[in-house]
Amino acid sequence: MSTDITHAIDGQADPDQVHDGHDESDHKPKGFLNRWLFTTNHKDIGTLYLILSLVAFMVGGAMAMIIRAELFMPGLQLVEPDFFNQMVTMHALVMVFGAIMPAWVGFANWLVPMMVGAPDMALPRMNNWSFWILPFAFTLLLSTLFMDSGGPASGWTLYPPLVLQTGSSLVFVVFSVHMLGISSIMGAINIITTILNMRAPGMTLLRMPMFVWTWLITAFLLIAVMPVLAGAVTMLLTDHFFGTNFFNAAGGGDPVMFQHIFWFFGHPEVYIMILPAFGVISEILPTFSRKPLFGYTSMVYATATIGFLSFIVWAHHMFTVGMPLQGELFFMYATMLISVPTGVKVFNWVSTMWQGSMTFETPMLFAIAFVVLFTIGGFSGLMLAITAADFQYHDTYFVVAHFHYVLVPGAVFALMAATYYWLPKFTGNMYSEKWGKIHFWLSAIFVNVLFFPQHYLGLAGMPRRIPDYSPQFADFNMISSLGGFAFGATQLIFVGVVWHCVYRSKVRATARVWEGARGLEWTLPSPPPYHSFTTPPEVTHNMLSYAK
Amino acid sequence: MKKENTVIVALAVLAAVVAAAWLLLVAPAMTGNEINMPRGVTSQSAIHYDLHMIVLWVTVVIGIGVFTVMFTSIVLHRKSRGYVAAKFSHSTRAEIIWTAIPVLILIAMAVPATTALVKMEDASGTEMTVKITGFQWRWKYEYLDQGISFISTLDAASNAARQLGSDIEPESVPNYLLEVDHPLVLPVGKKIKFLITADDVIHSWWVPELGWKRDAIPGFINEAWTNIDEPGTYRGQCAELCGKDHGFMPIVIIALPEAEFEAWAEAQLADSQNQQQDVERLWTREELMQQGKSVYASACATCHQPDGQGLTPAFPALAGSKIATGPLDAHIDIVMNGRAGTAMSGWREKLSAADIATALTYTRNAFGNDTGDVVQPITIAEIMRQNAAGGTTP
Amino acid sequence: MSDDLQAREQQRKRAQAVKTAWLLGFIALAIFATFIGVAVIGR
Repeated sequence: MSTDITHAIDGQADPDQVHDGHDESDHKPKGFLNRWLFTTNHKDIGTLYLILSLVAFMVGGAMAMIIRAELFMPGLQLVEPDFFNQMVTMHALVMVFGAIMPAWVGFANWLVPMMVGAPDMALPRMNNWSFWILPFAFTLLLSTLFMDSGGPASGWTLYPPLVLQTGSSLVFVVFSVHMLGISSIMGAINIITTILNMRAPGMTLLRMPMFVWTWLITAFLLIAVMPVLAGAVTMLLTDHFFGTNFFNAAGGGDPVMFQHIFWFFGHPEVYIMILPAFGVISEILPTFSRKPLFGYTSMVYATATIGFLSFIVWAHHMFTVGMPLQGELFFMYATMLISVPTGVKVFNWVSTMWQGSMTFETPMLFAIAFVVLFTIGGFSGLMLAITAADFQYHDTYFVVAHFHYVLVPGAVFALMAATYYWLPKFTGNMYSEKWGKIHFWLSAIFVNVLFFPQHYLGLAGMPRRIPDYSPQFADFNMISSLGGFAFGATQLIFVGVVWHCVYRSKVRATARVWEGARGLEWTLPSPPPYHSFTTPPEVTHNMLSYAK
Repeated sequence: MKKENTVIVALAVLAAVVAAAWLLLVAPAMTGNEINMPRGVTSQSAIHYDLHMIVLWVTVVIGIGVFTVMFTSIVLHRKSRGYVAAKFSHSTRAEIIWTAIPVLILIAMAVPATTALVKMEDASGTEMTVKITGFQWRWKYEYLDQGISFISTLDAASNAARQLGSDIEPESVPNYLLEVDHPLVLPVGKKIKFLITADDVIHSWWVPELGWKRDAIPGFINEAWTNIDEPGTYRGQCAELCGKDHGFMPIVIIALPEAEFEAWAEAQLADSQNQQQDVERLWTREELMQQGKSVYASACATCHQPDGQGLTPAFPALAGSKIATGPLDAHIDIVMNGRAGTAMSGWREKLSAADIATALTYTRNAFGNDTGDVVQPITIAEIMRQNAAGGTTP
Repeated sequence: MSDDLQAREQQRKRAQAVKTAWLLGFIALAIFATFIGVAVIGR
């Protein structure tokens, strides 16, 4: 209805006046380097982020395949235990910092300016910098695998004193984490300033799309906790190389202090990965239900509550270190409390679907699977919160199953949903619905074959992070591995669908793309102009799906 | 069949699969099958098991409720059936209800969870104490009341089978990876206190049948307790990643009736007195080499490898090494006190004088190291005494 | 609104954004310094 408000001055700008990427022009910079290396355009940078995260997803996935192959049956068949530990560590670091976080930043780059009616991000040059740090950080991190001393083998939690036994490659890991942290903080600053300063007239805070809201809160979490991680790894660095004794018990240090600091970062980090997913699901369900999001305001408050609670639950990751009873009780109650706002979200999503007029295109299928499977991950999370029972669950495959349920059919499925939902908008081409659905069904089935048996393994007594196990665990490990190989292979379909949509698809997308889609990004043509809203749109409430 | 109906069927199948998976978890729980948490053999483990089942059932019931509503909606409220979307978008009453009810459920759950935790942390009235020290990659047990102390390591059969490319079927090894050379023997019906610590990195001591795990942290001593109801053999593993052989430091408890435990303890004491006398005498070279070989296999071979070739880059070869063929004093010092900044830890606390002496003799004369040196247990015992008296390490 | 007015409005927004960014950056640095500082003093 309102593609007329877009790029009023398109084609008027003189190409010679294009000095830097955020000039008011629809002309893309010429030349590969100018276009990609020096870009300051939010869409190009978003694309770079998304490509990087897809590559990291494949690299981290290959590591997971090595892990599942070694665990296919009892006995060591393929790799030495130390290399197995390196794979366990790197798989987590690559997936968390390389696949999921950059993917969300990529979507934020693409969508936040379009959703709030801005021409670009607030700080386009810093945007370029935050992206281009990442490839170098990952080169540093992955290069440790080829060093004499091997990569880090202490788990992604980098607990001392074990991590201090890493050879000199530790310094690469630490600097890599520093660079990732700087990149994340700059990305977060950019998103916050864009949201707070660049909104179009009429786009009040409580009219913002849920994806923008969840990212705003995520960005504050990032700024609060990435410096904490940087501090923790800096202390590891000085302990290892400069003779300090922050965490070294032999020198009077406190190894448990590291765990407190790490999880003060680590728990909000969990929500950094999942809050944008909540936002995406809150965009997709209304579209395909053709009905406004139920309880928009309570969704905003629930997200903020989850963000706040994420700071006061960290010690539930370390119930077994021997805390005072009062501490254990506090962290148990606080953790249980998180299920209240999370429950509110699930109930609101179900109510959004209720009495809608639903259709089931691929994004909707992924979104529904997200709600179901994330909820199962939430349930096991509630079980883990019960301290006394956690003395059994802790550090077993039950925990592995829990966090993979919230991260794979949780965060990753939401990313897939977002890709199918917005890719036609980004590229102007429709993806193949048939192959999208094949990808969905195979993913949804195999992700359960992969992770559900791990609950059983954990309850039956299999510790996590072991390369070999007693034959009593053989059956479920084999099932899990088979599910893992199939799930891994299925993701090649995803790569194929995306590639086809970008380069081969003959079906053009309309501006609206989806019949029920609401929000400013759908008022732009598909693909949108290089600079989103050179003229700020007047936001009226029928453009949005949930404004009062 | 219409395309949209296919979707209904497929979604229903997914729902059924997920629900069936949950039932798989719940149903065997009632038959005590191994895919659920064991009920265990202590009062704590029973409490933890009951809590686990309560919370599991609560989540299953909530899950069935939420998913039923959702899938009903998916079947009924579809565009393909001509359903027209309703217009409602918020209800304060609904929000209050589904905030308040979960809070009430949580409070109901918090009550048993709190009582269980309070009981768990009440370590008063214990009748005997065992100190547990974790190190890479074995457990040391010290019976503080009985004066017994030994080290517990993965058994030789599992150790041989678990090597990469060993060609030994794990299924052919009894209790593969869950067997040790010296199990922890405990009496039933006694409240036993554990003091848990570690020597190098963090480990975690876990036997599922006891109902808990507790981290073993260098520089800290954690307290825990148990009271085993039934005699039997209970197996567990280290639960905190502690380096390359984290998966290979099992725990085995043999719980005996009190009289049998006393008999066992006396035999252990007599044995250690014999060993004491054994240290005083002069050993022949053959005796030293023979015992040294087995000590090497259980203590040194994990890192330095059975053939003494080491494992690059972290674990140096002993065959032809400067240390193992060089001055004896330096070799003794490294074995006794470890080497800072490497994975080589000091063995003075973990092995007996005879074990250290024989292992030294063996490494100085095996793998083509022909130093001809013989190290007598008495020599090592003498150094240990001097150090204990002087309080410093050389 | 004329193009000129809009350009000035955009510039004003960006200037404000830069201020916000500096503030957030200093907050991040302060958190980093605080955690290390507390760890140093706490021992």
